[in-house]
Amino acid sequence: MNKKTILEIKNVNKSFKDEFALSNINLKLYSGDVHVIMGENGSGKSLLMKIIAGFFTVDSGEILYNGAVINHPTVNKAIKSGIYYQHQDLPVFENLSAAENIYFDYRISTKKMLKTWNALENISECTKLFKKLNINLSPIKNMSHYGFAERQLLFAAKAFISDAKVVIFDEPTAGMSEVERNIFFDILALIKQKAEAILYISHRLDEITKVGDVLSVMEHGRLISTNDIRNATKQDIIRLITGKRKIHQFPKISIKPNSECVLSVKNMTSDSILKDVSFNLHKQEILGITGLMGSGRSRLANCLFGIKQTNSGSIFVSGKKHLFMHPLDALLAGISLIPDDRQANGIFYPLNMRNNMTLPNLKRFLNNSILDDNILRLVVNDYVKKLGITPDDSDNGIQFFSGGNQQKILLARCFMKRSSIYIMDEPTRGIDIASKIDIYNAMNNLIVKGASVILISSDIDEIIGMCDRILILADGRITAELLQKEATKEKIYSLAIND
Amino acid sequence: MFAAERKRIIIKYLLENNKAEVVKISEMLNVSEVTIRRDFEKLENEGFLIRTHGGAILHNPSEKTYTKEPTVKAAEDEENNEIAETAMALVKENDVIMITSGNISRLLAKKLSAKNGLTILTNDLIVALNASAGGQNRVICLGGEIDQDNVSVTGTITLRNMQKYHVSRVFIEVDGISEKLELSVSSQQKAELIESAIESADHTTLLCNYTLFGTKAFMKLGSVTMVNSLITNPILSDKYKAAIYDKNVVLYTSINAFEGNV
Repeated sequence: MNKKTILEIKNVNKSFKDEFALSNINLKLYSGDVHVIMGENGSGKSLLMKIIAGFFTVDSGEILYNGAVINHPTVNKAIKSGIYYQHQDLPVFENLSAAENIYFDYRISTKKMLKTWNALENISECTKLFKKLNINLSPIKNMSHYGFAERQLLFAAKAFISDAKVVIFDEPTAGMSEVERNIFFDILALIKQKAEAILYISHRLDEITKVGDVLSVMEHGRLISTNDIRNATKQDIIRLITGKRKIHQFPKISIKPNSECVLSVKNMTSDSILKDVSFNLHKQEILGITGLMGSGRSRLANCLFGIKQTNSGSIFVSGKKHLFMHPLDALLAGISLIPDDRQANGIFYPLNMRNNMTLPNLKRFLNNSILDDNILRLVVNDYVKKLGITPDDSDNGIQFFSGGNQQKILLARCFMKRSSIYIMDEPTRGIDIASKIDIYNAMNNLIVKGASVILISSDIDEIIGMCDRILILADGRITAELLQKEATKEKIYSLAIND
Repeated sequence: MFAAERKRIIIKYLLENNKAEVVKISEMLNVSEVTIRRDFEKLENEGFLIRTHGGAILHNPSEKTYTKEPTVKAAEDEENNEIAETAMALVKENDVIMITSGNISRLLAKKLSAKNGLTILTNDLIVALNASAGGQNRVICLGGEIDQDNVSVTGTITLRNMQKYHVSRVFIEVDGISEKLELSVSSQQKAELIESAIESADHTTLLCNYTLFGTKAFMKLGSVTMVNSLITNPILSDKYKAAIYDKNVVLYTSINAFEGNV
């Protein structure tokens, strides 16, 4: 086959201060292909796509587009040259209508010279478009009415009218129902006819076999394989994803299994995201929970911590039934959560490190209803030393700490709470290796001292390496339970895909 | 809250107020009254305070010169103690292990005396005494030539003696780890003993204080990859942590931050 290369990425490297990076990426995108990219969270898929779309520049290497080097394009240049990037978290104008959002960059003007907004024509055009693409949504409703899945559909319509040569989708179907996904794939087929090539990031195996022509797998900032998958079976693809890789060992300390049950969840259902979830957590155990994007992992964490309410089911902590209406209820019951998005849900940006660490624990430092700053500083310094947080000056603003150290500061905050159950949602996502090691060892410290841990992670190596027992979530249900010794990466993948 | 920290706070409080009540201190530090009473008892033994009903008073208020600040030695003891604690968590019931000589090893042996059902093989006389103290473990001391300085046995007899055994895990200590993660020890005998110990074990764990990183001793032993896992302090610099990970050696850090659930 002699196909035209549309886009070529040559030896691309990109690194950030201490966060993950891309190293030596080589990729060719041929015309007519749907090129699927898979990889765990934080493996650099989205970063690579954002580099192609001009959001970041490369440190070294080249990006060739139709044979010409486009190393440092801006987003605007990328759009003009025919590259359309559909974000995972869509940048929408909440207070504009669907039609306005779609036609924002491609507005229909009354006169060629004066690009004024023609609302009527715009809406009628949009209605036609929706009919053509079989989208059953109103073009005049504000974007704020639409949820994640609907927005992805609306933006797929935008991709359709963009007439782009290269269209990039970043996990568009993660929150979609079966019906929405079918509509989306019809649109995708239409885009495929118009565009030269499509880059498609996905976690769903059935989609990949359905739409994909070529599959590239990324891991820890490297592209580890590229294969033609037109005639591949699901088993072949699972083998490609899990691959043969150097397996790093984890600093795991196993405590003899304790039969005492500290947390028991019975038939928990939350919206349509969690369905009939039941499990037990034993004392001094690290229980791993894994699943694909959209399997309900984070919702489970949020329900156990009272952020999201459950529709039915019950939670027992040490045999006592609890109803969590608010995170405070969970904290009082002895549950701490380290949230997955530390930037949005963990850190207080204007405050310094010491305040960030002690804010939920201030009661402890009260001396006759006055805060004893001396003791507070002593305790903070002690934690800084014991967890190896650098720089060690607690007056530093939180923004001056690296991602790994910020995570350790959040860990210290929860440790100070002295809870008996720790839920960690993606505690090591996007942080440097040294901090990862510290976090694993901190988990050991918790279980040695009598607490229990629920580790929610999409990093399957980490799940196998650190957990005594592993639960697999697929579409909101627990589909399997494995012991550490019987778990393999392939097994977990096939169970998580659940088809 | 850690014992050392608590002690410092109590001392400070007493120096300022001359007296302290158990209830007040326990509320202030969020620890139980029993713990505070125990702290007071320790400080009384040190001659710093005199216990009274429900509290304590400063021993000699006119002489406010209590300066028993933790010295370098005390800090190192604490660090080694934490490493030994982590090492202990790796030992399971009914394990057959070997412990070679060294300071952390001796601390570990002391801790292991509280466990039972272990079989411990050693060439270090203090390790042997420490580990057998509880009377619940089977401790086998290797034969050989006495090394007065290290209170252990070494030499050909020890090596030959050791070859007869097979253990599931051996804990070793070295005298230096270079920047390139090369291990080194102070004498040829020690090097031979460690090599032979690694051979007779399924799994080798290196115990080392973080201050050893970046130092070299007389005899080269080999790369850090000769051990399976390594236990050190969490303050070790990120550079070393990442390098050890790259060598695929399991890195345990002796994090001891959690104060237990309440």
